[in-house]
Amino acid sequence: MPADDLLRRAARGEGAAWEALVAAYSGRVFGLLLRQCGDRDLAEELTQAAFVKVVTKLGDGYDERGKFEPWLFRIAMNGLRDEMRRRKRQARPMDMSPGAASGRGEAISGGWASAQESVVMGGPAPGERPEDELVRAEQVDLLRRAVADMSEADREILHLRHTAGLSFAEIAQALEQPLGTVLARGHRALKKLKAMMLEADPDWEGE
Amino acid sequence: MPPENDHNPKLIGDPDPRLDALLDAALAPDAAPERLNERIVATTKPYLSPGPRWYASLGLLRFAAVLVMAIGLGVVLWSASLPENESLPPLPPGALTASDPEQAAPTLDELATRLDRLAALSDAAAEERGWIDDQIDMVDLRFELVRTAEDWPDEQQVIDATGTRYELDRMVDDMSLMF
Repeated sequence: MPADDLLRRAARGEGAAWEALVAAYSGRVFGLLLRQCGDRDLAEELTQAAFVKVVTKLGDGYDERGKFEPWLFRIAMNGLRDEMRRRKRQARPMDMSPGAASGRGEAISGGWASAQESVVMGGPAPGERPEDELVRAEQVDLLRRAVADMSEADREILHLRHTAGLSFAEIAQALEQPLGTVLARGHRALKKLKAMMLEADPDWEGE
Repeated sequence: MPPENDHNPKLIGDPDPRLDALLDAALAPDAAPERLNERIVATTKPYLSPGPRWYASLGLLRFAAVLVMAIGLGVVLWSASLPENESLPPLPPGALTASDPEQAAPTLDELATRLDRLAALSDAAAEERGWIDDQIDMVDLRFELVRTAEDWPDEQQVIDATGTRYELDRMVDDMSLMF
């Protein structure tokens, strides 16, 4: 069912529609926040906070039909930024880069072992040899580390696109930036990523 | 997987499907905690069902509005039903208020008249007192004259002999009661 219908029915107080909406988006919101902060507990807490904000706005008659996803992810990202600012004020510096938080290695990327495991769990793609799959898993791990080393702004674009699954138009709405700016940033981020991959592995071929 | 139809070659260059696919795999969201959805729904459910909340608020507001209107109407009707001279509650007996015609505040002329009368009384009293003092002085003088002449050391002997002092004392006492 389209998000707009669920949103409209949830706004009328239909519990089932709201549950369906939560089920459809909570995983992506949590995944995005986890990628961004690297702390599972914080990501879960902020995910809940984001949905509380959404449901509160629904009760107030807020209508985000047609742009629900950017709105939801903007709420989630703003919640994360607010939390980071709060921690900074309390002199508890927290590196936003994935991997800085405790337990990140296991929690987020899982490193090479996790990549390998995902490959094994998922099985080789049709027509793909097991050795090709291992190479791909290695490349995936390399990419993760390269993304982790990128600036926060670049990471944000990549996470919104590849973790949250937003289009560039939706990313522009979520970040409240012009589409051209977001496209240019995305392009620069990909170029940097390729350069970093080549630096880490001269045999890397993106194309 | 992000949508594939929103690339803008002019701005971001040629699409790189392989890199996109690898990024999708590398940045795919990790599995959410178990029962995350249940926890979110449990946290957010109280905020849902705006209908009953709105109706409840509306009902309460309506009740409050009706109550205020009823009280206001009652006050208006009660005020209108009162005769003009009963607009204020009756004064207790003897109460001094400006609205009591029987005990209105005296005018300045009345006050001046009263002061004059008091002053006259005071003058009369002073004259009376002065006469009394004079009499006492005379009695004392006569007392001293008699005592000296008769050489009576006892004061009572003088009083008994003349009978004057007693009368004067009684007279002074009576006058004292007057002031």
